[in-house]
Amino acid sequence: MKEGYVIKATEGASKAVAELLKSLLEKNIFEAVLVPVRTNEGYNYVLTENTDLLNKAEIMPPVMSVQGGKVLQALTRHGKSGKIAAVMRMCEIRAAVELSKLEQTDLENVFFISVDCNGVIPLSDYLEDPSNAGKKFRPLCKICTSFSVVGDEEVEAVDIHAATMGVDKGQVLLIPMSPDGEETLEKLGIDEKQDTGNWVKEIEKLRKQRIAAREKALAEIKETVKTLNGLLEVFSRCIECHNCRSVCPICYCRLCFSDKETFRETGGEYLDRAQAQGVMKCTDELLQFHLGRMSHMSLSCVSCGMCEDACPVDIPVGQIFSVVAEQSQAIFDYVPGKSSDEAQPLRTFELDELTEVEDK
Amino acid sequence: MEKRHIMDRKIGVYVCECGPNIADALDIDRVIEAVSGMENVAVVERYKLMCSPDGKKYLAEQIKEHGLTHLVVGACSPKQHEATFMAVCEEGGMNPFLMQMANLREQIAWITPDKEKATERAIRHMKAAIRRVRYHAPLEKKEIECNPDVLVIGGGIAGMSAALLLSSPDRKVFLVEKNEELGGMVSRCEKLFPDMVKFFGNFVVTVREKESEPREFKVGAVVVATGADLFDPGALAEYGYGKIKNVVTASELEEMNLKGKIALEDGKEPKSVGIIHCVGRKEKGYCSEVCCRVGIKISRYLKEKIPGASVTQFYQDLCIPGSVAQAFYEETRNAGVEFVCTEAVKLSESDKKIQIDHDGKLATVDMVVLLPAIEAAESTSEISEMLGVKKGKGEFLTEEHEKIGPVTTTVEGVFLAGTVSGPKTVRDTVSQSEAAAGKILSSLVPGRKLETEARTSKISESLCTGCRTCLTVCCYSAIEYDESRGICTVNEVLCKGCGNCAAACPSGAATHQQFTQIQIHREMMEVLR
Repeated sequence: MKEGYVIKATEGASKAVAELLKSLLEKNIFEAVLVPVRTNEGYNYVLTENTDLLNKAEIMPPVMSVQGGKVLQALTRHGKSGKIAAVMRMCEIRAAVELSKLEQTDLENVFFISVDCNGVIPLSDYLEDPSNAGKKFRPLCKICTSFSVVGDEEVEAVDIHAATMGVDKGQVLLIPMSPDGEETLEKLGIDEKQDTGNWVKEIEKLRKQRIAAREKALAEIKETVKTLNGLLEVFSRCIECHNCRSVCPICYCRLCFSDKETFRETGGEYLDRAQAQGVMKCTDELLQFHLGRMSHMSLSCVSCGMCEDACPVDIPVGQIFSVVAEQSQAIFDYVPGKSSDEAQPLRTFELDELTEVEDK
Repeated sequence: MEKRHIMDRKIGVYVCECGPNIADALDIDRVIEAVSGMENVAVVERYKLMCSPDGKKYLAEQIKEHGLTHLVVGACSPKQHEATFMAVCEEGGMNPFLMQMANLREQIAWITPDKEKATERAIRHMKAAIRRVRYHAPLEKKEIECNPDVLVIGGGIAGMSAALLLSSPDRKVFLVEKNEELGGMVSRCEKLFPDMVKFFGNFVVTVREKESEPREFKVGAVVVATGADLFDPGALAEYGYGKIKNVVTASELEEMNLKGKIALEDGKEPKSVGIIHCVGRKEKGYCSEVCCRVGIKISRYLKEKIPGASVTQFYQDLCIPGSVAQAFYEETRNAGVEFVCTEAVKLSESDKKIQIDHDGKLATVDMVVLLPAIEAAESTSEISEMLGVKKGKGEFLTEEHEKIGPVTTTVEGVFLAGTVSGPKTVRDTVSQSEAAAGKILSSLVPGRKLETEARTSKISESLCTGCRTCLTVCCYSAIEYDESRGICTVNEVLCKGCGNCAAACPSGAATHQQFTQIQIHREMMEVLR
């Protein structure tokens, strides 16, 4: 059984991890740390070497206003950073890894510290009353099965995992997840070590519950998205603001295909079509946008729920995409963000894939 | 700007009757009526046989007469006459890429027995072509200077056959061979090339320079003739090769024969010999095509050199097609060589002799000759990586198409000859080599320029995010990542316009110039109506 290093967390896990980050900076192990901090407006990621600022660090902010993957994209898209440590939730780290496969992040100098995630609350609920934090959760968070790093949920990019679930209150268990993580923890000279058994048990228990909850919660959506009519109905109130796309960490195109002229026909063409069909809905690109986005990003979708949070008309877009992603990822036996070395399925050609469809 | 151009188009639409082929299968007049009112359509006509000299003249005149900007021809498959009608466009002063064909014959007339259905389908396909062609932009044909010189890799029979045909006063041929001698696998066989040495003298050109500095030379084409290897029978315990005395391979027997004496290890002549076929066939998963004939040839050596010896062949399947080989087999059988059909064979040593257990029955012989399978040479992987030619079944290099492109590869200018692409007889090897040489002779003519594919892909600099997805799916190594600009670029000479990159690019930064998103979208909107 793996062992973890115990640090005191009498003032909460955030304070404890903040102290850890401070000593990592003081020992010059990293040039800066990337961590969410509390600001007047809410919570924001900051990249800092200022140890005072770390007093405001919040390793598990109750809301996710910007996805961490997107933050790393902004920081490293044009070349790698200096050596930094980033504290993030699992879905953020996995998004960052997917983006690195698409050459949109450079993670070579990024050291990941992951946390056991309880989930975040929808932004609208938080804005209405910040005390909703910890009571309401994003629908996808409630059924998230990848909230930690045990077993199937292991993510290669993680260097240290800061375990809090199943760990004594007043403690955080720092578990080395990579050789680099092990080496870093050794440098810190933490004396107390502890078995990770309780943590593993707790995560596995919670995961089992989540799997069952997910199945139940998504059963209806699963039925709906099976048919074209079902999709049309569920997306019928879409106002085409494309917020879902803007906040998606995986959508990385400079210009989305849906914003191109491809789907804008000439007046004469529309009229031809209307005459031939008897009637034409104006305009009918709506479903094409969602289906197109689905086909482009669902293999990399990490089910973070950003899209659903951003939808102004409450379409369960995150849950719909998560259902589709689960199925498309299963076809290729692909888990987004799990391994940096595993090529994205659409970027490889396998000889047997060429006949797979034909053989059916 | 672009929009105004689209509104200004004058599209000419022509339906070819193709004799009775199209005219009888669908109602052409109804098709004409259905497409006549479409936006930008200037003229719609039918014609008896558009590909005839009169038809071509008529079409060229129509382009000029109506001042057509775009053309749609509803006729046969573009595979048959696209080039014909593109030439007509040029004749009429129109860029040939502004023409689109609708395949009314193969895709509709010939396969739709119901005239009503065929007509409806034809209307959809014609509308699709008309909608699509509006978005065609003129493309430019490009020509590049070419180097007529050729590199031939491998100095076996395949490489030499090709090199001999190719060499001429105005074309250099560089023949590269890794061994000291030319001749390859067949040079070890007495009967095929007894005068191989004379061949060497005539042929050894300037290239066999292993010790000296690496030399760079430019060529216009490459013939890969690196051959194959033989399966090592030592890998299979049941044959006892390397363990049981007097178990030899066919090539070892060839060597003995060349030296003049076929003998056992103790120097005595064998009185009985067993020849075992298909050694390694099951492991390799294919028939090596030549071994049966080799077996027959070897038994004839034996009968010739040691007339009293008994020779028995143990085979699973005999594969000896062709008029010559069949006669060769019958003659051999009449000369007293026995043929025994068996599923499995196991050899063991018994009292200085070899016992052959074939399907439970036993035979005892002095000597056993194994006929090992032909397998891909070790060097094939390196060659594959170096030239970008893919490997296929059995790790051999793959041709562009097994049946209709047996000497070309997906890399233009790289040709295959001989066993590098799989087991072959000498006759097939020479045929393939000469075919490769012929392809090169007809396309790489000294002093003549080479036309490159105009319908290539391109990548928009402003849209590309440098994700390099296109790079991973390009089969022609035509895409490069430009580090300084952070984008991918297409080499238009290498690009063959397969469209993989365009399909893979999520934002549409990569587009195929004759299959743009907008062209495909408009075409589909009509076809799938």
